[in-house]
Amino acid sequence: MVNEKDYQLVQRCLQGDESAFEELLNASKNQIFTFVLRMAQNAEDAEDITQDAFVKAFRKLDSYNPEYPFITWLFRIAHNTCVDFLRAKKPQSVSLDDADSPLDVPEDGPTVEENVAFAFQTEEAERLLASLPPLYREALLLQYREDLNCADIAGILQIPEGTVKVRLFRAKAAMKAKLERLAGR
Amino acid sequence: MNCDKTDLAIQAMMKALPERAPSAAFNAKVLMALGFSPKPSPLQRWLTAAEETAAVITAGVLALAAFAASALIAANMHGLLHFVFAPRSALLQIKLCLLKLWLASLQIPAALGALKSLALLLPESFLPQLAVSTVLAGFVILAVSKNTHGLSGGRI
Repeated sequence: MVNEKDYQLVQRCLQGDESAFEELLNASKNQIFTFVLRMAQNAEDAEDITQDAFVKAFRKLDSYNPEYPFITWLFRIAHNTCVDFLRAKKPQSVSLDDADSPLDVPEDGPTVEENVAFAFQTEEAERLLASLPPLYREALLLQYREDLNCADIAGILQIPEGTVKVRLFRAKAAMKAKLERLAGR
Repeated sequence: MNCDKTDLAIQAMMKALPERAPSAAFNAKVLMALGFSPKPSPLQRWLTAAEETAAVITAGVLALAAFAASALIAANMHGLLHFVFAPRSALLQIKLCLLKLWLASLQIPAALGALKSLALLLPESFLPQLAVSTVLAGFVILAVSKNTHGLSGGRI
């Protein structure tokens, strides 16, 4: 199914209509920037990465497939730009070992829900999220903040759906463990 | 605590995270990187238009003042000619002329500078501003001349 609005805007961009570029930018820049900021952990870097991602996207607009939402395509480009940036900055931060290493998942405890209330305080929630390995953080953000399903996330990250499910499981387990540790302090 | 509840709790926590926005210059930076020229802000557009209009109005008023001055000279030509050709010492006349020329030459660089800066302020196509400024300058001169006429007694 073709996303008509996205398709029309992209067509106008391809004809060189500057206002269409601005419309696309305004519709998606905050969403992409927020995602990139939580991956890069630095506002200046996040702005550079987001800018780079949009420039790449607009230069390759002719390769956009209108069968899929434009935002999903943008997330894919933003993800690739982010990975390149993080690799250049800290090679170990996006090591695949992070995702595939066994995680020490603690037993279910009774205090997680209570402590979610504490984590709701934005700063604490941001800190908890930032303490997760980037691959888990990314999976959680795409699923819970962007409401994307496993198939869409797999498309964005260019990995099999099964790997997405594993990352999500480990991300949630890691988050739960952190919430439990928070309860114990 | 079961898995569903944990999921929901984490989901709620993630949803509660605020959305962030890039800096105000973000769009301009992206569009410039794509080769679009930056758009001036509305305030800048207004300031430029006001500057251009002021320059054209000044030029118009100066032109009309020059015209009025030349008309004044033409009207008083008889007196002026009488003054110039009055039977006086030729040496005095020459000295007077040289003094006037020297005084005028002092004004030339300043006048050229003022004209140059005025010309720089003029937009490429300034016909609308020129029309407006001419009309405005006309009204100003008309109002001033009416007042002068009124003070001198008028023609009733």
